[in-house]
Amino acid sequence: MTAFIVRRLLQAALVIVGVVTLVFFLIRVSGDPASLGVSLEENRTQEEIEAEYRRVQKQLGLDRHILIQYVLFWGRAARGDFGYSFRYSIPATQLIIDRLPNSLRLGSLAAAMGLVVGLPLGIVAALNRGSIIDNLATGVSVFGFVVPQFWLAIVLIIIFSVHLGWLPTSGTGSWKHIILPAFTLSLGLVATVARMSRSGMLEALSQDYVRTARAKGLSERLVIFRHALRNGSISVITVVVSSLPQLLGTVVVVEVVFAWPGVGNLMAQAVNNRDYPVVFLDVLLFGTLTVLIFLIMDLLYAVVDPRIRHR
Amino acid sequence: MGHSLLKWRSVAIVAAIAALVFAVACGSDEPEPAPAVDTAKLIQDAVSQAQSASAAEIQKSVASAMAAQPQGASAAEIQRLVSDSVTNAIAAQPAGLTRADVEAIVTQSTEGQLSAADVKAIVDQSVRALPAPEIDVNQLSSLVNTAVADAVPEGISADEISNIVQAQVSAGLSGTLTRGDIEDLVAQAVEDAVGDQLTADQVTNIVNASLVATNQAIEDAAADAAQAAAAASAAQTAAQDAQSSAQQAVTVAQDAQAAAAAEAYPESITIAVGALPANLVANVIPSLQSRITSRLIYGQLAALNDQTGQIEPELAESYGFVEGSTDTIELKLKPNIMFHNGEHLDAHGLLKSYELMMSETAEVAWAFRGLDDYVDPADRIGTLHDAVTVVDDYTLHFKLRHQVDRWANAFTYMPLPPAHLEEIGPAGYSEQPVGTGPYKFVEWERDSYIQLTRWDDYPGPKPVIKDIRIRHVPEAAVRVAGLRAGEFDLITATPPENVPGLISEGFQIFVGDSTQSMYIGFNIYGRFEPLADVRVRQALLYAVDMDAMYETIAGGYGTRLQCQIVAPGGFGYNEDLVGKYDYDPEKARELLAEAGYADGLTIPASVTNARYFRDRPLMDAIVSQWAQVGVSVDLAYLESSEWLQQLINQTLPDGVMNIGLNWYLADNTTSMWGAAVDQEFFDMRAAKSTMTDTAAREAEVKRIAAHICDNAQALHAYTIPSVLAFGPNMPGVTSSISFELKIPSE
Repeated sequence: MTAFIVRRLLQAALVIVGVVTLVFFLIRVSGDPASLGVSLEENRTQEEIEAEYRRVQKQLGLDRHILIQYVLFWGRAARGDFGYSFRYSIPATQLIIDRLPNSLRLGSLAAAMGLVVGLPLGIVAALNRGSIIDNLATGVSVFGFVVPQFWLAIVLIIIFSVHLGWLPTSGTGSWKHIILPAFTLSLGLVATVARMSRSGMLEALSQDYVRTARAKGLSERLVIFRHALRNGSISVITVVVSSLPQLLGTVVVVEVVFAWPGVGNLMAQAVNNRDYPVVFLDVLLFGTLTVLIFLIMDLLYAVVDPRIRHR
Repeated sequence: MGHSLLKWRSVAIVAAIAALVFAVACGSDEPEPAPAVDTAKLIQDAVSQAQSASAAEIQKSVASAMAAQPQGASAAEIQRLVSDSVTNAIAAQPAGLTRADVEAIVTQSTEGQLSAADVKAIVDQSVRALPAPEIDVNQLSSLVNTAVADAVPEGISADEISNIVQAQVSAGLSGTLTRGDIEDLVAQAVEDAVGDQLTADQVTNIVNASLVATNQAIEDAAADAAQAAAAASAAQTAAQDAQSSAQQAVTVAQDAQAAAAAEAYPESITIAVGALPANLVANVIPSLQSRITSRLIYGQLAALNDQTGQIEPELAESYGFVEGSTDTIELKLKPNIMFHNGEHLDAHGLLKSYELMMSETAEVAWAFRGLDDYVDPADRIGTLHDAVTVVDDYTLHFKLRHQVDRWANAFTYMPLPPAHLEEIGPAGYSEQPVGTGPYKFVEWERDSYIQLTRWDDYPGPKPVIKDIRIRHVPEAAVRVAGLRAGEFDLITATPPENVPGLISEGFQIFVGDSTQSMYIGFNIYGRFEPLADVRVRQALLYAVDMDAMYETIAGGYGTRLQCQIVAPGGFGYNEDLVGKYDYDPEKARELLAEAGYADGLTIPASVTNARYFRDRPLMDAIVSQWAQVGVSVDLAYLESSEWLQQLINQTLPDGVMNIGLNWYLADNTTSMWGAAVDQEFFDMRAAKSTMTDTAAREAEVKRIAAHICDNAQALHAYTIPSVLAFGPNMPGVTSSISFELKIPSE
């Protein structure tokens, strides 16, 4: 088991390094942060602008060869130094740490909502296959899959904030502020969880041991909760855990629309402003979280199913 | 209205003509009076059944009625028949009949006795008929005479027919017919009459019938017009009434507002903005979006005056060249300026704050680029004391390194308190900013909000609102929603399309102008060959209906530019350039053809997206109009920083690009992006920047503007508006031309 964990950890680290490397070079293709420090909106000559540009470039350490920059980046990162935000002139780590609690709050509430709504919805739908409830659950799932979060967020704001006046449009403060963003964020998860738990449950219900349990004369409740649900839950857990990274992607859009001061919003701002240190750290965080989630899932499998450990 | 009148009249004429023609066509034998009752009844029945039916159904009804009709109906009957069918068809189809409908009815009604070409001719004539000046009887008479003489009848003499027609025309004509109408009617009538050897009586009848029908149509049209006019006039009266009562209501509301103003303002407000500044150290962040915050916290030595468009002293008492000197400027500070923390602004402190900031990182020092005409940007701190000297407690001398017209720009500086700055440094300063403005800093959460509160010791007029929270809400739609929900008291950068809705819901809109102008620059670095030809550039200007774009894309906000970067009223605005390139696509095509691009050309272009106000919609609209004169554009939407980088590296391969430029400091320079090969332009600009006589300099700026306009170096659009939306409880809130928020004072 230890060897397995070590192997998986090493793989995870490799993935993270790959992701950061990719982002490091890709972001260069899309633009140069030094140019953002140069003001156009004044009466200046071409020469003045160029001089300004070189100065800003040097100050940000972007005048050296990109490979040297890359090596320097890892050297500092190894010491936990991810540099100063170009935009705010404070450590990038500080910015992330300030915002992380907000995102965790939002993300965990959305994940909880996704499970609390999605799981029963899927199970009930499976137990009542073909019924109105099943169709309703399918409808909710399809809606959750296809509706763009950006659009949904604006519609929710118009309904609940503008017309009903129940909830604030954006920002943080009271418990009311988190409801709309959490709901928007959770919808995709509800869809995935409901859909997958339904099919997992259906599969379990069609297994021989369920038929045997029924043949034994067990009550339907026992059949469902002890046999079908327990066995079906393995695939459900898989689905739930593996759909959590989906939240990370959605969180950027949701945080921007609701002006939620989390890491997703920070990421969007940092990308717009070519604030490399912040973008790197954000990507590193998102990447690590994703890899961690899959790592945990793998380990859970190993616990549940001994065959996997020895593979 | 005119259109439907025309249609009614035309249809009536068609009916008359059709009847006439049919009567003549099938009436060669002596018409045998048919049992008129039967016919009329048949048709009436058919028509009443089809009251609400389609034109096609009515045709069918009429056709079957016609089929039941005994041979040899009278001309009058057929005329009535066709008239009725057309009238009823129209009644059943209030939207009007198409030409095809009318043709079909006429064809059907005449049971194929006319060829398709005949019908088409009839319809064409009547459809083409337009009201025209009345024709006098003599003219008609001669018309008819000619027609008749041409026809040379066998059975009756030309004179007889002429007399008949003339008599009928003079008796029956009371409305206005076009010359074409009468000509056609008479020619047709006579031709048919002659062809079939009609008697004089028959001709009389024919002409009579046609004139009666025509007059009826005219009367109907007149009645319609009168009715419509009456309705319009009633509507106008109603509108006027509504307007005047609305005006009254507005006056009452304004009075009430003014009366309640002092008490009505909220104690604290929340402002939603699209972007917050990245730090709060005055002068450091050039972004216009930071000005809302920075100008509430900080005062400036001198500031741009909205009314005059000039930089005028604010914290400074005065500044100007030392008597007899051409390079030394004396700045006198007001003696009583305090900072929020109790520090006092004097000449020593000002110099000290320069020193502290310039010895900081390049980024912070760069904020003092306004001083670069005095200190050497390569060694700012080393040359500072050569450039700036303290004369007494409130007086400093600034020595210019070279002659330059923009020397006053240095005084838009926002002073910082030196003791506080020295204690915490610029990085700490961002956490505890201190200024001389009407509001004190309370707290901020980056990218989330900034909290300010009124500084009670502010020496100037006290603003009516105590606490201000500036919230970061990047989505415009969410800002608008938050305003509607009552969460925000004021929002900035309101999308123009939301403005009418917000007004109708009782929100106030303030539309401010700015000194930032949108324009499309041509021929950067002179790399794209076709744009070197001035005719091509001029064609690009003629091809664009900028007035329409200003109305739609900018919502009519901001100010339309007139072939120059400075808006009307600005320094160096050249009024001679108004209307120089009014929309004229034909001329654009001609110019392109002259330049050898009759078959069109493709221009590469780089365009920013969301760097400037509605930059992309504007460019899309321009591109589509250029396409109409055969110029296609290879458009690249570059991400903002990428675009700027390519610009700096001179790697933009492009011929065209869009730009927003602040001109208040610039005195009109579409310069940077003008044709690089244009030496005359560079010489003029160099000459201008050393002129110290204001009048001479303004004249030179005008000359440069004319040069840029004549050479079509850029397509100037409009200034970027500042659109604030806020609740009715904050009258008098405005925005300056530099996007600063102005709050009324007690």
